[in-house]
Amino acid sequence: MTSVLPFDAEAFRARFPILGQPVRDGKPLVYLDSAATTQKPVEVLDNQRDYYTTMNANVHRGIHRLAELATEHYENARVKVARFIGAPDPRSIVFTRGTTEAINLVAQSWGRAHLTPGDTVVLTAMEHHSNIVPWQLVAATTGAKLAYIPFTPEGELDLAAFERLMQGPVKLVALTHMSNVLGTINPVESIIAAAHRAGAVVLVDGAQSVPFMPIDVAAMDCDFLAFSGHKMMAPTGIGVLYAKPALLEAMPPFLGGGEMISKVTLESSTWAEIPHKFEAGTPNIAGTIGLGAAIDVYEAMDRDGARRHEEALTAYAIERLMEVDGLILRGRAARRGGAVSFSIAGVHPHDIAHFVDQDGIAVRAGHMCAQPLIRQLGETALTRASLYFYNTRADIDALVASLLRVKRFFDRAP
Amino acid sequence: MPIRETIARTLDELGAFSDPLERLEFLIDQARAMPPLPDTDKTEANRVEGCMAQLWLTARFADGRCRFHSDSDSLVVKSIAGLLCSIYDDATPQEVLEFPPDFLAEAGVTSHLSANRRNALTQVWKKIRAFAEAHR
Repeated sequence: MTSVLPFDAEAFRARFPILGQPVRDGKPLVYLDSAATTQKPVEVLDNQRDYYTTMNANVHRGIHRLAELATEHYENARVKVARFIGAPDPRSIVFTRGTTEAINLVAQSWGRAHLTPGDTVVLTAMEHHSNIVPWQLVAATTGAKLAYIPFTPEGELDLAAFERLMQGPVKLVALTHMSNVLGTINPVESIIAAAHRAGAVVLVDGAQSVPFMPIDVAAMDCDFLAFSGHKMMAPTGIGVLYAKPALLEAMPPFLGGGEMISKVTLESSTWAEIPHKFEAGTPNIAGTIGLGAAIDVYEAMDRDGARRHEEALTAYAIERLMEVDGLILRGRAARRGGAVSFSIAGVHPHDIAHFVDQDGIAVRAGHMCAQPLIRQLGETALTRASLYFYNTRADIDALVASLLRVKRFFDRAP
Repeated sequence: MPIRETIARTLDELGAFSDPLERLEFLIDQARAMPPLPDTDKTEANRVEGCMAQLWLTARFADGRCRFHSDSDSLVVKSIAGLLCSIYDDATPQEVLEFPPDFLAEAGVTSHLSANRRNALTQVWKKIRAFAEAHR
């Protein structure tokens, strides 16, 4: 085994060319929007160029050398993804466009096949729209009901309420591992165990957690895990659905077309083996291979050190943000990741984002695709700074200095 | 004041700023001085869609002239919508239709705005124009 150097945030940051790019009249870019999408390191950028300059071809069906190469790298990415999340069988990895498509796949395939009137799907009140709307759609067609685990003022799930919900006819529990707004890391292991005891299957939305913390689906025992490549240094347009192979085997196809069939006649078709049954059409070959390159970066780094860096930086960000008079932090869970959302009394979140953008600082403002959560907080929008391994204290200091200027501007008499 | 003069005065005022941020701060100060819309006017019917912040526009017609008033929970949005309202308030429908707000972009006033904010401006203009057309 090769030795791994201790994590060094500055050295890691230097591998992301975009972070050295000035914005807004030469001001250095301060990128604090990684929960929306992370930037890409040279390894992934080079990989994408290499793919198109040395092996671009369609996969699986070609006889020629390039098709062979592309197929080899594409399927090798599947093996890497399986290893990365501790899945024993690469056939359990289905490539999708992202987390959203992965969840829609489960809702439309597993959901339509298994949900009947009177069944309940349990979600949480802190879900991203991508883990609410697909279930609303399938509930409308199957007659299933949706129920939501509430969260406490600290931003933690109300587990007593969850236990009560599980007394009912619950077929599936679908929840986020890490909230994209509150930063909360939910106790998915105990929730999965309780759901299994009640005979329900569990889908975990890992869009925020997989990029941040080591995941072992075998130990976690989730039935489905969905995540996106673009939030973990890979290109956009590639995501993953992990599912236990037995579940995938029994699920009907989601999309029909090329690649996913075994035999087609004018009357009917039979399906390819898993996972190809769920990958209709030419896949995102470059993106998939890019995801493999991003995983190579993860596997070559000191992941524990990187995570400790992000945790320490999150604590530093929260501590420094409290220096801004009138700032209200949203989400104070004991276990949390680097999505830090807040409001400032008297200043609209969009105006905060607009003004810090003038200083070259990228943050998110709005409902962050979690309108029910934002509504429960009594807000219409929030501002969010979200961190990744390449952020440093200097980024936080720049944000706080900019926020203090914003506050001074809005506080002065008209 | 005839609309030509209003536009000329507005462009003069805004043209005095070489720094877009200072110009925005000036507009925001003006927005803060504008009276808020009463809650009874903050209705769904008065909502301007296509803007990420909440934005309302009321339009009234009296004595042959259009009266516009806007409000938003975002001061930046309020300042942009308020700029349009201040230009077209008290104008006749004919004047409104004769002077679309292209002059703002031509003068560079909107160049520092994000696409979302420019969209808010476009949506406000569409409502103002539709109102003027209905009362022409």
